[in-house]
Amino acid sequence: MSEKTLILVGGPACGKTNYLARVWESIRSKTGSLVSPRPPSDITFVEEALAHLLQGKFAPRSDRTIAESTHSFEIAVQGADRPNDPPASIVVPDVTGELWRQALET
Amino acid sequence: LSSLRKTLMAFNEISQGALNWNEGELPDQLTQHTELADDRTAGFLHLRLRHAESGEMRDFLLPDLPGEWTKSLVDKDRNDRLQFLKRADVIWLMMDGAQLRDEARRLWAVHRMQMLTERLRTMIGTLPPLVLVLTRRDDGPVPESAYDDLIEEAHRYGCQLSVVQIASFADDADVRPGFNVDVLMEACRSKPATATPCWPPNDEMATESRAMLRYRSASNDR
Repeated sequence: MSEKTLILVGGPACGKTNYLARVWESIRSKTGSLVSPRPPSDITFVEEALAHLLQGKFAPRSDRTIAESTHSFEIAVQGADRPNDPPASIVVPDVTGELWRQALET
Repeated sequence: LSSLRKTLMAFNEISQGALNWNEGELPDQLTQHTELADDRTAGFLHLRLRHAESGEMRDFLLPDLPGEWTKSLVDKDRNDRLQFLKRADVIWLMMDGAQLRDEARRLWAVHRMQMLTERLRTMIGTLPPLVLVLTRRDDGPVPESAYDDLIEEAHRYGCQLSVVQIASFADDADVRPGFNVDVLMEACRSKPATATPCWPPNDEMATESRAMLRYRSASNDR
């Protein structure tokens, strides 16, 4: 797996956190083509979001009172059919949509 | 109960709420919420039980842990104070049966238990037999379809998982308090170790090439 960087960008309330929660559950369940050899140490942020989705609700907005949320999520992944490959890292800082909008406007 | 231990005092203390009734009304809590003075050391209840029919003795060392410890294990992988689990012969995974009966909460409850099992597997390595203990059976049985994802995932990782539905208390006349607790205890019965002979039979040694074993075999033939 070559090193690549993917950035998740979007305005307020477009569904970034909800998407991230679904990605987490997909990787955790090890039923897709991308799996995690071991779960990350701190999964509080994605678990809080997933708690809403798995009970039939959308996750609430990220904390808008701080410009850059302290929540972030990092997980090592590898291809399900390539268990001997070195894992790659997905790092997702949970930046609020307001910050992206501010960056666009200023 | 063949022997009493000091831990029974603590057991009595946490179950005291179930003995105090408010003129026929249920108390808010039947047992105390577990709070530990030392948040790094678990409290244990030691019970030595004797089987009424076979006379077999069995020791149970049951930790009484705050649920928050499990939550921090799942959310933050905090396992430093749960290292004793590595020595467990059986691990009971306790789940609120009411959550599994409720379709709105079931997916989340199953997901959290899957995460807990994964944390345990990461921490311990090869897991001992697991028993999924579903509580509140007196409110109704949990259908197998509600927990078959847990069984499937456990088997996928080579874990042995059995399921017991219990009722510590009972509102339902059809289910008595303590329902299936005996089944739960029986599910933890260890299999007898395979006996190995202290000395191998002589005839297997007759062809030995090592001098000492040849000598022993020859001396027995005299």
